[in-house]
Amino acid sequence: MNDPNHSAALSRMERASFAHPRRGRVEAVSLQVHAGELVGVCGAVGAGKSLLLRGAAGFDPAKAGTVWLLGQDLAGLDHDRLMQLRQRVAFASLSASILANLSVRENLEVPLRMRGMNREQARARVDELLGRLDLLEVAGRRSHEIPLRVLCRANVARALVLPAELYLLDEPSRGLSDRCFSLLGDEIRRLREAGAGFLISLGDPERWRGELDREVLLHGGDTPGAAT
Amino acid sequence: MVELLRYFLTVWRSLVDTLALLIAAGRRTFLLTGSARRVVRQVTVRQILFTGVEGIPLIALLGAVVGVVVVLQSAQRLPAVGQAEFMGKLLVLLVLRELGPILVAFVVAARSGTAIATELGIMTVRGEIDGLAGVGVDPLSYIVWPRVVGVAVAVVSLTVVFNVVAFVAGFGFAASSQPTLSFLSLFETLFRAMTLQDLGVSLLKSSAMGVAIAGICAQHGLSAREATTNVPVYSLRAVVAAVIACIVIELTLTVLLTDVTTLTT
Repeated sequence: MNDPNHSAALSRMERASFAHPRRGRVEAVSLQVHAGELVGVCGAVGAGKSLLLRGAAGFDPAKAGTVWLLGQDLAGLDHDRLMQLRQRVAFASLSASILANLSVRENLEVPLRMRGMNREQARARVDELLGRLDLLEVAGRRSHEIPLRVLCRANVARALVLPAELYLLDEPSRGLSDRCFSLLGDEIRRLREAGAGFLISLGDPERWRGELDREVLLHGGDTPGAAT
Repeated sequence: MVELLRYFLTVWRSLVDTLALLIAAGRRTFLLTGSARRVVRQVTVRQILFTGVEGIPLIALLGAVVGVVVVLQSAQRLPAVGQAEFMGKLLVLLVLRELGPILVAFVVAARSGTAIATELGIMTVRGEIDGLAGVGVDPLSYIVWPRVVGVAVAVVSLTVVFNVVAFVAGFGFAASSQPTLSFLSLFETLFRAMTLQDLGVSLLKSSAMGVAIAGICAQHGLSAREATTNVPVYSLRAVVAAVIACIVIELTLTVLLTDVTTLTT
């Protein structure tokens, strides 16, 4: 079903609740992300930030309430339609989930090529982004050959390299040095100026103050979360 | 009794899930175009290299042993009972139609089936599968379908290798150990006895077994949950299920494709 009231919202939740045995619970959250906006999801460890982002991306279905992604109600979508929507979205989870049998560069190229870009175009786009994020040095290495904090940056880079309308990033600044945080911030600003919306979870919200359009504060698994 | 019923219910559910997975993966891959199709083809080629090319030494060794045993035994026994001319047909029936496909399938299930179930299990638990879906790459097209096609092609190719090595080694050994037998005349009896239907049956069995092995192992791998310590359990279940599926395919196709009227003549 189409979003009847807020067709311009890239992501919208209306009193959405999620629950997962390991990822915790989130109760009755409402939020909206529009084009060009940066919305942060804040809360303590275990408050359900990752669960909320996974719910927004359609990985964990809402137990109650409604979740819209690019104007489509996720509850009514079959897998095919969901995969079509995900062609217009980029999601990076907190765990460094890039493919272990591919190099960092190949990991970034595959989603681009699966979206129809040819090898040369994909390679140029990937190298350009890796250069901007100071990751060119590890471009040819596989996940087991690079430190975890670099791997997490590569994981975020795999999402940022995609031409997407909405970016869902789970703690993209976790463990980043000031310099790397600044490079990431520049990249996010560049994409926002081009019209993309961002919903990001933040373990370190104070670093992002001044950048965020809105914050969603989660008070913990058992306490209702609310947009503030 | 209840336990047995529960077991068969689990097997049935697994079969239905595997079929659904294969149909969905095939349909979604068919809809891909251009660059995406080329990426899937590259992954398929890698799977063929792993399962097919790297499996050749083991299959060739197995083929040589089976060939020597079967040819030597039949070359010794059949003339003694006045059935020497039946040797070609026996070899075609035994090696080409029956032993070749099933033995190759067992080896591939043990070698590549385990690898697929373990790899996909670890990828699922580590979040790599969700990670792919999150950037718009359908895991069924990028991960599952290339493995299904790759393993099917590999099993068919390895069955051809198995048969060729079995006949060459068997005939070579028989001709060298028994001066009354000639290498070329043994091949002549084989080609006289072989029909296109025999080749077709061998091809059909091996391709069906290849699809079953990859599909079952992929389905079990993708079902892995929570911790990497669970992955070996899923892999073990996958290989057992794949071996059972190969036996069922072998029996079913043998019964369906054997002309029962010839059994009484």
